Amino acid sequence: MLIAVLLLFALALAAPLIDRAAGRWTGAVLALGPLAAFLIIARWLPDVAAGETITQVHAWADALDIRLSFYLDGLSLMFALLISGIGTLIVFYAGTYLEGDPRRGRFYAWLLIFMASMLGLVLADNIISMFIFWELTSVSSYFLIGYDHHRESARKSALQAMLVTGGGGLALLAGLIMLGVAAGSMEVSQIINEGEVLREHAWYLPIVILVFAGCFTKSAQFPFHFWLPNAMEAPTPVSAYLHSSTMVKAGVYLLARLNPALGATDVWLYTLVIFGGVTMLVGAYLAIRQVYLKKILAYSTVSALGVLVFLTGLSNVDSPEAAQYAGKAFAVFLLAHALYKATLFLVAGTITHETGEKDVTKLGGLRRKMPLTALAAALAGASMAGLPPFFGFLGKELLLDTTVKNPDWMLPLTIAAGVAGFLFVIVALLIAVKPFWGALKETAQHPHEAPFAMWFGPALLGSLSLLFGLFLNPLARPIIEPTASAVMGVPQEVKLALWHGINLPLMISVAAVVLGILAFLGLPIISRILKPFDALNRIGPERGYYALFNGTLKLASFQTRLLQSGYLRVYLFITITMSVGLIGWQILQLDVLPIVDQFREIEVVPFVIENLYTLIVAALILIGTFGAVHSRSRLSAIASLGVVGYGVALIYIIHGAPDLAITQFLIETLTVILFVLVFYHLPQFPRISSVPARVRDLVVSVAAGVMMTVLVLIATNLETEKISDYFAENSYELGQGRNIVNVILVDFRSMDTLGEIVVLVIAAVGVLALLKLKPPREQERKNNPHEADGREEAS
Amino acid sequence: MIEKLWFLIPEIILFIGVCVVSIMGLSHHRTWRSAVPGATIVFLIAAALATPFLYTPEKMEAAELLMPRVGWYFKVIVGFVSVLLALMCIGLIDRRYEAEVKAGRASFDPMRVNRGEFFIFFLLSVMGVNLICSANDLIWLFLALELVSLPTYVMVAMSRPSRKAQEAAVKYFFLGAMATGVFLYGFALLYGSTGTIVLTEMRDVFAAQVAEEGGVNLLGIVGMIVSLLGVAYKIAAAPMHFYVADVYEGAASAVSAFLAFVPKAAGFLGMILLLGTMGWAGHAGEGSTGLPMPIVTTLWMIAAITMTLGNVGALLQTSVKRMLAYSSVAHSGYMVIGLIAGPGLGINGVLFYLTAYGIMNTAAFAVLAGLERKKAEIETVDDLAGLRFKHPSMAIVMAISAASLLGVPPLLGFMGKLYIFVGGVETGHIPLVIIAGLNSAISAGYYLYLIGLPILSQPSPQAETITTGEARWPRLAGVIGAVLIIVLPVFTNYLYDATERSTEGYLDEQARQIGATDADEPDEPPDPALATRE
Repeated sequence: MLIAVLLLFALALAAPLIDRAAGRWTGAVLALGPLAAFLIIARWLPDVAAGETITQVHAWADALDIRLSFYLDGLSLMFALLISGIGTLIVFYAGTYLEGDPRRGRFYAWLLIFMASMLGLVLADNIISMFIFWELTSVSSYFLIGYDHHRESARKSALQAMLVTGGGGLALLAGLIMLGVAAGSMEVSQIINEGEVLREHAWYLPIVILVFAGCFTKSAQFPFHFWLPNAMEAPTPVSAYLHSSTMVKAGVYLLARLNPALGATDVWLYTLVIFGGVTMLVGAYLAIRQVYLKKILAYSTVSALGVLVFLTGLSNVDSPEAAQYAGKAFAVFLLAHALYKATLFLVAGTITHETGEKDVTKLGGLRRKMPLTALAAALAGASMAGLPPFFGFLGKELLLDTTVKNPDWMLPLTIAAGVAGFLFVIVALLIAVKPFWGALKETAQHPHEAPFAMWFGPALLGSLSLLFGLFLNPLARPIIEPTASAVMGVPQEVKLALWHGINLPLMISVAAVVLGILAFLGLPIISRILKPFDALNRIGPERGYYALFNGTLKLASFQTRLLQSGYLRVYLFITITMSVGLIGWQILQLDVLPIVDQFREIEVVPFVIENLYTLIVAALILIGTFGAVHSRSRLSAIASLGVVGYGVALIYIIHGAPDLAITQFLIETLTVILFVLVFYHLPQFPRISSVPARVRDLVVSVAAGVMMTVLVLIATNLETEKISDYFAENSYELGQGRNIVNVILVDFRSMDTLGEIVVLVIAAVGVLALLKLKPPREQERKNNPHEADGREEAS
Repeated sequence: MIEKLWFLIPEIILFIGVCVVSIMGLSHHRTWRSAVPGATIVFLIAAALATPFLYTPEKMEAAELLMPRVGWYFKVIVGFVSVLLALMCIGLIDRRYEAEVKAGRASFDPMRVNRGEFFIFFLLSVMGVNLICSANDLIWLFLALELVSLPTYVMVAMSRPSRKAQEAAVKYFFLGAMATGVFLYGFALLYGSTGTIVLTEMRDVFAAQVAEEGGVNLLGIVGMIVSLLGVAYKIAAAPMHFYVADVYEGAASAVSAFLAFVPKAAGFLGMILLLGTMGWAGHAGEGSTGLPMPIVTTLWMIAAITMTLGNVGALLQTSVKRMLAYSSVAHSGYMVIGLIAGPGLGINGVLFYLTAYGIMNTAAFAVLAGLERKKAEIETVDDLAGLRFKHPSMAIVMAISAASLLGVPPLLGFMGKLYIFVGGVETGHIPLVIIAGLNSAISAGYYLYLIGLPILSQPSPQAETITTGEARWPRLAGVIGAVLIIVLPVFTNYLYDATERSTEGYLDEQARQIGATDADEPDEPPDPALATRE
């Protein structure tokens, strides 16, 4: 199976070259790729029909249990055949549809990447590699939908589709990882046997919610249905492909795939039935409110996806008979819908291609001009409307059978299914009959029968809708039965028959067709009545999407204004505040009582006497600090800082670290000299901050100071060995010297001393360089035009 | 001493490179001067190639380091990405002056050439990263971290003749100096807590503290938090990340790419070493895993704030460089999750992600470095619109690298994210991983621009005037990066195995010490090795 996927990926890379070489035969040549994939997969049909499953494993990233493993059972076989089979016809069709478009090569590259990813998605056994293919379909469809990128709306739609499905995809990834951890395996073939474990698992609910988020966004379930019709900006062959058998079906596929593992709970059942049912009705209603061919089809696709989700949910009801019917209905409806929807999309594409018209109300009488296309449309339309003996009829009958057989909620569910059937009839008539019958209407272009490549695909798929219906058991059963088994998780015995006798579902069907035809005839009147309700669309979920989108942007602009002013002082301010906050918060969490306790033991007078020198020096340091902050001139600020530095050095001396003190004196002296030299070149000291800013700075400084004090107290609270004792004991024995300071400097810490000397020398060289630095005179500037250039460029 | 020097041979090679390059840069002959970047690359490759031969199993076994093997992976990866970065710097420095010398309009003056110095700083900074691999005490770690950063301050200022670059350098330097002060203070507190600066000894002391007192002492915790906050500057994480946007925007693209990778790699390695002294085992009681709780919450908040501020900040940028700067912040946030998760998927994931990030970020910046308009860098997002029509290869490189930064499967960036996120989930930090997931969703808002605009849009009027730069090398770096982004995921297993091997044995010691005392009766004396050290 890896071969089939890789073949398509390789073909995608070669597509632009083939397009250049093969010219008008490109479509036919490239169609061989999907055809080969179709044949490779179809080879397993007898095995799968006999109830077997096939797994293949290739290593990839073992540390994460990611493998390129493939799993073929009824469900994946059904999808794989639809993807490669319909894909073949689409590739063939698009060659002519996009004849003369210079971007056709690139289009094919993305289409084939999409096809390969879709094939990988349904065949993957490993859930992470499945997710990888899942996201690849999102990305490649982004480029396919945005194909007509000179149109603003196409780009906007592509972005919307990508954000909605991509966001859902992330949720799905989280769900899948948790699913894998909970089930103890990343392989679908193992996970579907772990239903018991998963349903008991603490993570069951989050997993289900995350999986729903991924699948509902991808499969355009209410309330995420808005992106799909917008994605109709894509060229028609892409729409036909994405919406008949691929992209949007991916969510349905995954739900059906995980149905045995996660199903059989109330959450699963009710969520799927309610969301599927609402989507089914909302989609069908919105479909008959449209006038553009592709929009009508898009909303009817939303509705059909709702039906499939609805049926997946119903396959978990208590009544075994109803559940069995649901599984069977799912498989039949899936196949029927793929066949007729692909046909109708392609027909819609052909009509627009030939007439230049998208509005269905402005079309009519085309059957004489394009009889073959009309025939294909009639076949598919009949299947969609659910007329016997077409395959779609069986799908609708089984759907109604399921709801009728289910004892709970029988009435509402049956009514919902019946209404959906009724609306489907209207949609079928709108697409398959309206443009072709009645009087010929004038259009921008004069229509002719489409070229071979453009009627062949629709005609073949349309005839299949009829053939599957006529030869149910020999043709349809080998694929329907294993599919139903895979959805149910247990092997199913499936018998298919068009005629079940006169029963309730049949009567509902007849009523739906009759009412549908009447409603179609009276559609202009109905439209006028429904018009006021269109206002409701404006408060639909799409508003939520835009609110979220714009809200994030507003937040972004707020944070940018607040935090990224470009001023160094503001950055310092924020950095210090946040650091103090983070560290301070952590210190408050810790046990700091012992630090407070050490103050209780202090008696003031003995303490002052004992530490008199230190206290005096500390007072000096404080005075120096205040001086540095308050001084009006640079020089006095530097001098005050120098006082602070020397004060610190004195404290080193008092506490027995003369070597440190010497270093500190030297460094401090040098620093002061450097400061003086540097600041000498700077302009006067301006007052830049206002009073409120100063108060703010004061608060921050005090906070930082308090935090540092606490840190120091924590550090001094610890009993450590004093290193000066060690030196005092060992200076004579080890260093052979009585002057401890000397011994430390030249013996114990001789390397440090060497380092310090080097630092001093380098710093002195820096001082020298500064002393020699003079502002360039006017004369020199004129001689060096390059430098002047550089400066101008800078400004 | 000799053992230590043995592992420093790559650094020594780089240092020889520093000397050679500095002389070449001052040569009177133009050929010699223009060979400076080439020589830099030769020395980088030599150092990287020497590494696998030096890190033999016996030598690594004998080395007294916290992570003896990490250099084996890190020096090669950093060396390799640095080659791409060096390619991007070709033709950046002294371009106008050299052109005038060539045309005979100016005479050669050694005081006015900077190319040699620029590449010296380049090599020194890379050398700093390599030195961290061999760091076994806090002083060494501090000096190595500073060696990484100090040259970059100058590189920013030199990178282009504009005031913006100088302003950027000043901001970068001041905030950097403050951060250095912060982590130096943290190091001092860590020394106060353990009484040693040697990392392996610190590990033993912390393990003994855990065994005897049931946890690391207060000063150790506070010291670690302060140190981490300071080092956060190197990885551009909150609250030390505010310089990023301004500095990346001010510096030339090639240098921005350098800043986004080299100091980040250094900072993460430094953090791994620091956290490694405490270890990820046995802090919160019997049988538990993970860092001490206050450290976890600190890192947790740093991760969450960093990725959110980064991604939200990037959304509105009109400058591509600022956008990539914020994305650099956000990616640091993701990687911090790996630090929290600890050995296994977490740390290995960070090492993997650094490689991935280095490649994809360099590729993205290479597009900016490879194109120009009227000899100035292209900056705004609109400049990229419709790039496909005039510069198809650069448009594709930009789209691929942005897609990888976004984490589109199965590109390199996705693989990296997956390791870290799964590591987070496995160690029970699910809320943090969810925040990271939401952030990835937000990041789609700006990465999709970088993917979509070059490929899908019509060229804007100002995009028509864009030309390719004089040197083709930056574009070559971009193409190499893009190819790697696509090809490396196929070899994910090998790359991950390499990270795993480089952290092998790491922390076994600490886990053994704590594990041993946990298993024994509490009354028994601690490990004799520890008792003698007390």
